[in-house]
Amino acid sequence: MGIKEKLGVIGYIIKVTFKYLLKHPKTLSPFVVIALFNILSLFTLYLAPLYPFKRILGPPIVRFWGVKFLHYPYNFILLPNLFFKVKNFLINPLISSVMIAVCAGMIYHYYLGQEPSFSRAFNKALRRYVHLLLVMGAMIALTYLIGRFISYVLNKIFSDWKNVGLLNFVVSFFITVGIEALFAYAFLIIMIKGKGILSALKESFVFSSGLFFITYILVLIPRLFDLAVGVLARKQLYFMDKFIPDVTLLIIITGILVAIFSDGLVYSFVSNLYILRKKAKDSSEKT
Amino acid sequence: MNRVDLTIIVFLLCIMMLLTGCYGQYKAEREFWLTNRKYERILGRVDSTTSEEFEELIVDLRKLVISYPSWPYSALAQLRIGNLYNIQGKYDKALSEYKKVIEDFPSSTVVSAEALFVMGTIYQRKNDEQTANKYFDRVQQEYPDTLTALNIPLYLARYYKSKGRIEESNLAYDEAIQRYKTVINKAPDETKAILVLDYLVNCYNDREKWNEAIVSLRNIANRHPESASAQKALLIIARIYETKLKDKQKADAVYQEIIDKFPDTPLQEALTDYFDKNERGNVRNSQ
Repeated sequence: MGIKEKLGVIGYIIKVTFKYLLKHPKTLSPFVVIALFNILSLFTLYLAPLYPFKRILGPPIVRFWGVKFLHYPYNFILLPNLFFKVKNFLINPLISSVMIAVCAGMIYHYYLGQEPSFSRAFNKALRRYVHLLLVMGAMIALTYLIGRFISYVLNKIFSDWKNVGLLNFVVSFFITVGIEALFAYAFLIIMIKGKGILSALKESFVFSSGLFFITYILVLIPRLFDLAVGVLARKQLYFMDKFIPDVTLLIIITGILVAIFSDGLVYSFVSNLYILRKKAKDSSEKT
Repeated sequence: MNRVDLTIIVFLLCIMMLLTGCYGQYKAEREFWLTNRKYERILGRVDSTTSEEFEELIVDLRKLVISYPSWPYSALAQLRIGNLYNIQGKYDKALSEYKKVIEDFPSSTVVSAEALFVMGTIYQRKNDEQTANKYFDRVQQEYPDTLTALNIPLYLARYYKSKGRIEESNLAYDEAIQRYKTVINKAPDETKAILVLDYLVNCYNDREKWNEAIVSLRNIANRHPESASAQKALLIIARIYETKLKDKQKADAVYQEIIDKFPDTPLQEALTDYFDKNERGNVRNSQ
């Protein structure tokens, strides 16, 4: 497939997905659920300096970061770090893994000629929960390890360069997109084919490798919105100083809201691509 | 997800948001931080600050003091009200605000000492040295361990010097030196002693008595050879040799002494670098 054709496929998938989402906006509801959990955890962490939350969250914060992070405005310096830890290591494996599968399941309902249903997809996803959780766990672990490795290498090579942090951020972003492109189909495969984690991962890698450029771009486009929020978050201390430290909450909430659409688009794009491709393959096999 | 689930989540979110409204001490910290920022900004541009801006900040600080009377930082807020009047030259108002610090916050020793000290300086400005000295004496008697009290001998010596009263100034410097030596010798490992060492050096520095400074510092280093004060005293001696007396050989000998005597000092790396650079410089010169 030439680059023109690949871009044509990307354009077609985007068009199909937007058409579908306009017709069935409730497909984004799983990501609204993720956002609600994120906001809930964000507020819990935000309330860490106050009772009764201080009783539970206070000791680990004091132990790992110091007592000053239970006081204003230092709590806002720590808040993004804490939130992203909870999001990556708790909400993503426990909640997002299922919700991504629910979204994929709802899109699959549509291609079966049925009305996309959250509850039906959710019930099915729950039955495949362990596999979904493991896929998400593997994706997070790989992203984390590669991220650490990149950070180590870049810090070694560019130790004297003051923008090494920014370089690390940008390089990590593009590599994370690549990892997501490889894993993205696994949720859908577990959901619609009922496969186990290993065969789902294998099929996801094979399918993604065959269409890597297309998948990468389809993941990258929505993730650019997350990148924009990430850039804002990197300037957190500047905004804290320019406005008030509480602005950190606003930045994180913006990120959560943007993620409803970016996550929604990423998994709608890849689900559409996978299902349409399979359909095309099946019909060509029949003829 | 049915409506009941959604209602529960929204309800929990509402409770959390409501909780953010009743956050006592945290709210005090937040308000203090915000007023403190205003205060620092005003200090940075006193000349262009209007009396309305001063008044507005005074009102904010007063609200803080009234709302959280038992909160430790309220004493500091009260002190700052006095400072804002003092900056504007409204000395009588400033004095009455400083008086409130001492009366209302007797347990805030550091802030009370500062308030008494500034009251003394106001009386000095009013050319009432007798009353001023009474306040300075009070600081030294009632709060002898505060840095404000320890700074007073040096402050007075400098004050007399600035007024051209050389004899009084010399006498005050000598008294200050004695006082500082006593404090250092009493507890050479305490942070206070290390800070007072700076005051001691300033006494010599103001009169450019470098050799006397070296003798005095050497005595401290010899008397308490393993103390933190000794380490700092040696470092200052080396700096005096290097920058004031331009005797690089002696400076290097003292730097080497620090390396030998304090192998665990955090200065070790910097000093090793210093000698490495010197060596490279010497090699280049000999070539």
